[in-house]
Amino acid sequence: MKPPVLEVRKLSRAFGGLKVTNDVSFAIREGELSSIIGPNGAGKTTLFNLITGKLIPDSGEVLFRGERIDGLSTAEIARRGIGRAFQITSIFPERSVLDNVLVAILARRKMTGRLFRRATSCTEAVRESMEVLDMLSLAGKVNEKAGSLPHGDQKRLDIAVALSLNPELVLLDEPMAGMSPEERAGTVELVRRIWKERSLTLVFIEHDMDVVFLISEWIRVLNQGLLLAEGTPEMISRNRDVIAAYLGEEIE
Amino acid sequence: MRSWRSAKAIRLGEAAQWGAGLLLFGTVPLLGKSYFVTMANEILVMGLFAMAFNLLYGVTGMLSFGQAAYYGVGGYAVGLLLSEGIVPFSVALPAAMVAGGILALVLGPLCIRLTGVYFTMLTLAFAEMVWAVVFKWYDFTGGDNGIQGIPVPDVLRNPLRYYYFTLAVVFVCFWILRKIVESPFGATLQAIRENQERVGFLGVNVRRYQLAAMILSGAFAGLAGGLFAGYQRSIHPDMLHWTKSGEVILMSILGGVSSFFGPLVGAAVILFIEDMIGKYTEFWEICIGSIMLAIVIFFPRGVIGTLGARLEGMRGNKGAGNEATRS
Amino acid sequence: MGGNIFLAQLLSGLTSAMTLFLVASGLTLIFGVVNVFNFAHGSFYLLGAYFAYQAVAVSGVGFWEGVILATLGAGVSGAVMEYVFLRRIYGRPGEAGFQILLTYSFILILDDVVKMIWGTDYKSISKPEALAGPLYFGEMIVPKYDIVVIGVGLLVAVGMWWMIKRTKFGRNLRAISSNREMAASLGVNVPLALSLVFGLATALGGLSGALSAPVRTVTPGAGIEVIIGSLIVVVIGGLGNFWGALVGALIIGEVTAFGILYLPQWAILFSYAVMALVLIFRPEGLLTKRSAAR
Repeated sequence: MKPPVLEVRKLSRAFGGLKVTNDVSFAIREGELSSIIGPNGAGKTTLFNLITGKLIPDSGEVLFRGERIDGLSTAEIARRGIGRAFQITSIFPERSVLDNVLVAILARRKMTGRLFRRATSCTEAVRESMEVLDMLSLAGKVNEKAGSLPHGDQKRLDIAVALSLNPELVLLDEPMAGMSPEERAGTVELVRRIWKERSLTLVFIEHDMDVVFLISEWIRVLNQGLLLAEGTPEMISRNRDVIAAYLGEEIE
Repeated sequence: MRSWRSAKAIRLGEAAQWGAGLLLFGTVPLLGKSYFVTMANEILVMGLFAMAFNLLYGVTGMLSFGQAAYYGVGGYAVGLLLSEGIVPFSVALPAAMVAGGILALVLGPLCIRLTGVYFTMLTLAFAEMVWAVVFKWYDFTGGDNGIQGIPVPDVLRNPLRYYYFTLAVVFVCFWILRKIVESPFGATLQAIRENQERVGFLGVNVRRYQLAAMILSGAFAGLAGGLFAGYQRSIHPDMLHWTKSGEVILMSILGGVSSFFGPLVGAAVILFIEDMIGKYTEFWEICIGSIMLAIVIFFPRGVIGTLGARLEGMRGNKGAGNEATRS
Repeated sequence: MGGNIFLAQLLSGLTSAMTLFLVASGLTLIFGVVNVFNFAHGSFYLLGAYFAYQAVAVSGVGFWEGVILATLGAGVSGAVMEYVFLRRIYGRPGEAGFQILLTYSFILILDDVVKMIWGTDYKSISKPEALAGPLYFGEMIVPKYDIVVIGVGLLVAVGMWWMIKRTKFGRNLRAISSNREMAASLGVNVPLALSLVFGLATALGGLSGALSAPVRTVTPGAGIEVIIGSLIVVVIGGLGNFWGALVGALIIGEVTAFGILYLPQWAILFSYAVMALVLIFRPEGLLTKRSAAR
């Protein structure tokens, strides 16, 4: 049997005495579409940071396809096939939409050292960029400055950049935050379609319970750094600890 | 696709710009007065230095307050090699470029460990150290006297000849820099400027690219210094003084750090202003300082940048990216 | 080397350390609270020296009155600079770069202003009679004035510490430096505090300049030397770290004092070298907790 795509074993990280990630263990299966939920401050983004190398764990291990990646740099981990979109949109604001994705494609194709051709003349890379942008409904805005896009477009651009790396595992941190209900529905469909078409393993952090319960196959609940529970949406919706943790927030 | 057709038109327009620029500089001697040739020569040299600086600041987002160290080292390389008669000018000038690059290779990795204000301060500190060494090492560098009477090959002794030589070298360098900025490498540098962290998440070793930028910037600054030494036929520790670093920063922000030729334009403006100021008053610092202050407050995108943005706004364009990278 | 010479150098180093500390503490205070790196800080040292000269040597005011006037003058100038100019660039994207450029332009402007008003020749003021002579500790000769400078420095250090820890203003400053928005929402008048703290910091710089005037000749170039020196001190101690400024000043003061003894030509390089070493191995400064700079 193939090893799980991502495995986290007894992962812990503290900030000044406060355990933000407390002995967390779980395994993500290949092709899984799952979400991580939990009240504010539960340590969800910290978990993403630990997985992607932005933070180094105090103890525990992170394994990607059976190999340890904890302690590696963000660049090394990204090269191995983990892509990430950010809670606070992280794009290249002064650059055009095309350039945002193009630099990611060039990075993936290991062409960033090239000095003697215009970036935009690398036709294969540009074609691929257009494909990715098309998939995220941004093809019409190719030449616009990324920073001047409306919020929802910027979030999708963030995702596009992450996807440009052709990662096996994609981590989306609140990809629908700040979107209108229509945009949310559209993005949800988009995410599901991309997940299917590219056979990705996808994990996202989300607060919107409708979205979470709608498209996740599997849900993991964090609270105060601890992995409270994991299971199918049905199991989670009936889990008393989870309900208690959310203290009155509605779960379907 | 619409964008590709207009890309061709844009490229033609660019070629025209380069042609016009060459023509402009090329015909300066026709004006008759040697003053103009002298000015144009200085503008070209400082323009190259400023463009080299801007590769670090405008393109990659690294504010170095110590580029004068590389400029000065290049100048001293040429000055020392020629006055000792060790190698001919044709070797000394490339050596200046190499010297600048090597110094950057040595100091760069240390500076790059830091970001923001700490980075800027360390570049300043290192530049001050280099200056201090040059200033004090009387036996080797001539100390605060510098070195005068640097022998330049007969071919280039005529100021007009040297001017055309400089014009050729500098424009070739501009062309190379342009290629660098527009290449995938340049796109990566610009992404680093915009969002260093995200570039790391793309699998890129950011530090390596920042170091490369520093080395290229140092090399071209060194070359500018070498050209200056050949033109001035003398070298002096002032070439390494931090106010020289400041001057080139000012030129870039005046002209506009996000436009490719901005630093060159800024160099021209500043040199003319310094020249004019020099005629009327000795108080050039307050004039330059006030200009800088005005730019920072009212024209944060530089004069070209702000005008450019206003024009774009009037055309109703959402114009993307920097002129530096438009293709 | 005789123990006396050693002690004499030690004390001389202590004196210059105190001078540096006064300037550096202001610089670090501004960075810690206002989050601005005031490149032009040395220029307020310069203003203090020239104001003192103007008051004491030209207008015939008493020495200590002159020092006070100079300190106030430098403080007011600084507050004005913050209020009129610096304020406009708060919150801009890429603010750090603009801060450096703006404060750099002030170095140039103030340098010429000083030249325009007072000319470029060396000025000097004499020490007050009562403090002009030497003190004898056994075989050791110590200028009385040095003791005074050291005393003032320590007084300021204690006073600042007390202000930061024990007064309401100090509490407000601490709140602002950890989270400006929250401080504002808690009712702190942030803009006023920023101008005040800036003025306080430049006043300290001016005080240092005024106190140094009798010891070093007053020239336009002094501002730039002090900028580099205080920059080194502040980086060593940690940007924003008040006690770090004291520690850094002591280190640099003594390193320079002894450096001058052994290798006078290269003494200044020692200070640079220390700064470079600190920036390489512990960029957040010797007294600050990790990862401020990386």
